[in-house]
Amino acid sequence: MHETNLVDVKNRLWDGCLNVRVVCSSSESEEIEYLFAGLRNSYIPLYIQSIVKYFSNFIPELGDGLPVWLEYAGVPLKWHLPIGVLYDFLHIPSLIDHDYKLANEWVLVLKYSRVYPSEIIPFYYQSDTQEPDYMRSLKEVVVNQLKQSCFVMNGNSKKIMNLSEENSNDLWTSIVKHNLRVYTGINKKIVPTLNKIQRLPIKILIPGTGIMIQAPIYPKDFVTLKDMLSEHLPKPIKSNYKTYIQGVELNTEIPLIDVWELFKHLDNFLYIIIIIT
Amino acid sequence: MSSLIQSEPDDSSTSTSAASSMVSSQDKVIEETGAEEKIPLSTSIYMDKVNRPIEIEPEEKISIRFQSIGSTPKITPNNFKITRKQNVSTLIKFMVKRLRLRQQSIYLYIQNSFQPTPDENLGELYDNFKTNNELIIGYCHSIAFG
Repeated sequence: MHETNLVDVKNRLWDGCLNVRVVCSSSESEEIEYLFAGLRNSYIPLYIQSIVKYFSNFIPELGDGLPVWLEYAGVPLKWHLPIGVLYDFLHIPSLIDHDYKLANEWVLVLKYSRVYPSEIIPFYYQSDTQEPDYMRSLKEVVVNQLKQSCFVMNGNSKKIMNLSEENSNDLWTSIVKHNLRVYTGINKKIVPTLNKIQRLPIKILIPGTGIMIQAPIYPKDFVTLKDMLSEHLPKPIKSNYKTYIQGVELNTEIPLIDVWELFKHLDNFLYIIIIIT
Repeated sequence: MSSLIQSEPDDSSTSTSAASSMVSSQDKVIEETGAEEKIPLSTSIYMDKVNRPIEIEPEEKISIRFQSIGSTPKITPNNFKITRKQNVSTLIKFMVKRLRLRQQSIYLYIQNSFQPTPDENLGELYDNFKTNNELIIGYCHSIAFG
């Protein structure tokens, strides 16, 4: 691909959105809904405050800082994964044999209770007003994921630890504000040049199994995405699968390193969804 | 208080909870949690169709070593065997019990560097980040590496 095309693809991936419909029913009122365009390359905690604020107009208990979370088909969403990964992992399998019109929106249910379900990381930090501090919890997770991927790429996490305070703050702000230019500028200091990468930060998710593979993947060992998958997928999976990354079904004959470079998420992990057919 | 941990649905059910993790000092094994991943109905129907069980060497064990950070109390013994299929959340529950923490307030670190998320698989963390055939887990009452 030409350089300009690659920049265009990168921009489109960065700005990729999902139409999300959040529904919630209170005891007396009918079902209420809230619509938003959720960035695939972003996280639920960045939206949850607005969602809770809206629904608390109808369901007053929600204003009391009660634990809330989103569910899809009875499954609590792990908010520490990017929104696009959650959609691809949980929803795409149900679309495979169906009309893709179903893909126009993703219907989630807002749940609230006294305690968080065991699947998700509780929002323990509180703001001054005793409300859950969603942003602080998210920052802790994302920064640690960035450190983890930094370690995988470089063999240590010095590059991210040595960022200036200003750079660290700007990196976080660029993630929150979704500013690709600022993000890329600082992330360059963490990601080594492609020929110096020790291992590639990759997570492979297989819907329906709860399996999340993160093997040590040395770029020199594999040429194509397919080579890597045939080595690391569990044995019963041969060639009977479809590969989705960032919502796109990919031809697996393309070079692994290019796929990683182009399709990695903002925590520098490449999330691959394997759908068995 | 810590945030990188998973809540326990019911704190009172210690007898059934995996976190009860009795460690027998003879074989030094951490008891397992049998947490099943919830999957959407639509996906489970599609998986039935696939009808091929997928398992990753579930019974194989790895070694882990706990290292306290700062003023956090040391534990003895500090090295354990655990099956590959277990997740980080098992270790968090274990440490909360072992250190008799009232709040779930423990931070776990790998390579004195990053906190893994509770759903990460120990077998794979071992493959990626082991030192001399042990996965070293630093633990601290407070945030140790910001």
